[in-house]
Amino acid sequence: MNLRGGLALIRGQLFGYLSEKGFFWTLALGWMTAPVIYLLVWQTAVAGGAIGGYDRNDVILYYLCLIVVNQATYPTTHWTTAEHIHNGTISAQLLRPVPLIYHALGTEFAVKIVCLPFVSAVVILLGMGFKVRLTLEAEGLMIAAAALVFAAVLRFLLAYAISLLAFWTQQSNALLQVNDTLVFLLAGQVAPLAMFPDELHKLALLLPYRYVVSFPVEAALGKLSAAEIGSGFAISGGWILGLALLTGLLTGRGTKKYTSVGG
Amino acid sequence: MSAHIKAQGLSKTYRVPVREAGLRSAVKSLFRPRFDEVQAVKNVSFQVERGEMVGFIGPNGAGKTTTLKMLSGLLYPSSGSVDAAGHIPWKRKPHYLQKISMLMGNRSQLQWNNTVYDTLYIFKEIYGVSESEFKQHLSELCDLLDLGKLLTKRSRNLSLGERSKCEFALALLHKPEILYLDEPTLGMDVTMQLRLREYIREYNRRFGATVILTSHYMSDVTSLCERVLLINQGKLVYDGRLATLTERITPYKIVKLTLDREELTQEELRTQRIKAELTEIQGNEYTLRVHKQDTVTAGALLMSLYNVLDFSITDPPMEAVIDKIYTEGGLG
Repeated sequence: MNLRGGLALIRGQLFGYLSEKGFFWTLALGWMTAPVIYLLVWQTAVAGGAIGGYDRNDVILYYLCLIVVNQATYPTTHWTTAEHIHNGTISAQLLRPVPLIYHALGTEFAVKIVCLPFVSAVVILLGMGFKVRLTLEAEGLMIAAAALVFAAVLRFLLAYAISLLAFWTQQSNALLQVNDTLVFLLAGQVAPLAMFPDELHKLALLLPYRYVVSFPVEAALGKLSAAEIGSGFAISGGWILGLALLTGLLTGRGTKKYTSVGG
Repeated sequence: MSAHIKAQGLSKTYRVPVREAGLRSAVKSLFRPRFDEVQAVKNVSFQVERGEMVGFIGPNGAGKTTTLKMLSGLLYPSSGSVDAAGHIPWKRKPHYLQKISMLMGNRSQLQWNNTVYDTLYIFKEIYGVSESEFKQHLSELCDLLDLGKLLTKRSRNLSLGERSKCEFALALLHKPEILYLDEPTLGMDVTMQLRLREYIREYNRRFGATVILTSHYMSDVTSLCERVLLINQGKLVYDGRLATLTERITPYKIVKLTLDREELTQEELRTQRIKAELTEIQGNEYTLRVHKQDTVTAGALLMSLYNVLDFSITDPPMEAVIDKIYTEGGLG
């Protein structure tokens, strides 16, 4: 497993990103822009009364929570992994005695360590500005934390599996764009899923996208029943298992293909 | 002694997409793509003993890098087998990757935003080098490659030569027992090339490492390798001592002489029955090409007939030998 090597890769990326923190904070600000705009739109929309069980305070809390979850789960390496495959620089990684995925994981951890404190600070300031009321419960927080871990793993695997398609096609970036769009539409960024039409809501519950952002946010806000929490973990766990197997398969087949045609 | 690297019938064929120029062909290729097969390496076999330094030479596109990639595990061969340090390279088992290092002059292992020291430390961890070994290796590398002042610099701020030195340090930090060096001195100045060669020689001597080296700087090969593998158009055309290769390809010597006045011409040489070919005249300095068996006689005649101020006999430059093979396509 070479965990020592994996930790070193996180550390190395972290040092690099710390020296470029300005760039990542700008990037993080960009990622926050859309949720903040949706927050403003929806808080106006619910001014006349709650929609789908969300009043003004819920909407603000929902989007502030979403900003943090979105940041904590957004994978950044899938773009670079595909690029490394396309331009052949992945050869250097293939010659190191650590699994290929460690390089992507190292980068993911490092980006999150650099960006999360900044995003959290901005979210706290926004919360104070909106005079949001917040009630924290230990049980709810623990469930939300577990859902966040599931969400981060699921979102990473989803994007990483697509990026590995770069071993076969030059067009994997287009698929990554589609994936990002689906996350945007179906993960609860445009609006809380509870506000979606029934049929779309049912579909969203089965697809992986809800579980990469919306599910931990809903859990943190205490909007889910015990049964919904159970089924949420079961469905996201199933997607994680399936994607982990797929990633393993794509890595094995992909590197074999890569080493057949030349790096 | 058993071979450290043994390649048997190694071949590699690439499938390359091709199409005619123009819009019609571009559209047609969307539905019916056409491929050509390019045989980059054809049935290559050789053995390298532990601790041997072998030069792998050949013109551009001869198949050198493809072969090195198969040996390192980056490429899967179309046919044939390789046993390197008891491993099949393209399985890329961590045990094998721990034992080797591949330095590609045109590919970087440095992390752009990190300092050189941080990158070295990451490699230390990846390869499981202990703290005490790391300190010792780093101190040796600093001494030999003059790295001291570079350790705290970010890689993006290094010059090409400094970067090459650091790449070399990264490649050797874990003390690999097999070194695949693909153009290792690319971009280095002459002084640095000399120091690096000296370090490769020292590394090979001290640790008994096996080294396979490709370089377009023939002086890299001539100064480090007694044995060369010559590959041309994917085929191994020569495997043996470098000196023997020179002998076979260019059986002549280069005679350089300076006379007290300008008087030597090809006609004059013929008149004096000196079997030599005048290849260059610069004032009163002459360069002659003389068949090896005629060298002594020609030398004696020149010394006795003319007032010679300076005289030397050398082997033809290696570049000339290699150029002859490349342009003529083989050893004949």
